[in-house]
Amino acid sequence: MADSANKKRFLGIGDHKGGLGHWSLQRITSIMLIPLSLLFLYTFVTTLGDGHAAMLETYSHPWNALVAILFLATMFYHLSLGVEVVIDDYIPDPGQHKILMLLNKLLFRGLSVVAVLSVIAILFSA
Amino acid sequence: MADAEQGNRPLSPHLTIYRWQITMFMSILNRITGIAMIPATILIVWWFLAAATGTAHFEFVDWLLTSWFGLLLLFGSLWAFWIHLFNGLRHLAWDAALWLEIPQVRKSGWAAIILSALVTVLCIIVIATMGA
Repeated sequence: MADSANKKRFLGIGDHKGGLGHWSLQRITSIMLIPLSLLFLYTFVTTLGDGHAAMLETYSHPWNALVAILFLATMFYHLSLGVEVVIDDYIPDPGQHKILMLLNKLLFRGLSVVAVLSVIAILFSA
Repeated sequence: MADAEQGNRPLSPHLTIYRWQITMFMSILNRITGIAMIPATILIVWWFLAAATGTAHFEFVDWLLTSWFGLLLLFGSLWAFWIHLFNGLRHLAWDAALWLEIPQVRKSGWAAIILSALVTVLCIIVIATMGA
């Protein structure tokens, strides 16, 4: 088989073309998430089940709102980076790969935006 | 990856043929726990959205999260969280060229899974005594 034919088969499915950036961002977000996830978890666990007024009170405190916003945005970014690697590993078909990569971005960026806007709305509700 | 053009080439030995060991178990578990936390993250976003949009909406989502189904999912996700966190620390250590000897890699793997279970139980005890 000619080399050119071989090369053609791999075009678009091999190199991520941004591997170092992806790798670095995964590490940076993971380090950020160590304090952020623990702080957020504390506010969440101590507020869940206490009613609407208590929830609004917790997250209208600027510090708690900031922790929630930073956690949710960083976490969803880290999550979408992780899912990208899963798609890379298990979806060999270039067409499906492209669609799933797009859906991954749309889903987790969408959730991130909804979450951050909700916290901002709560912050200014009080 | 097998495709028609390459014919029926044998695949290299895979998961089904290896003896299970802590290193591969933790590697697979890191991915599984990451993916398994997705439903909890979606519910938490819904919880915030509901709180921002009205009391009735919020009370429904808050009830859902504190129902037996919600608590099962949240506590399961909590265990997944601690596994992912402790295993993530191993990955960060390796990136810094630490704990790379095989006995250390095995030891830190066991430490991560055992610690995650202990911390999860501790969290459940603390949350239960708090009166959630």
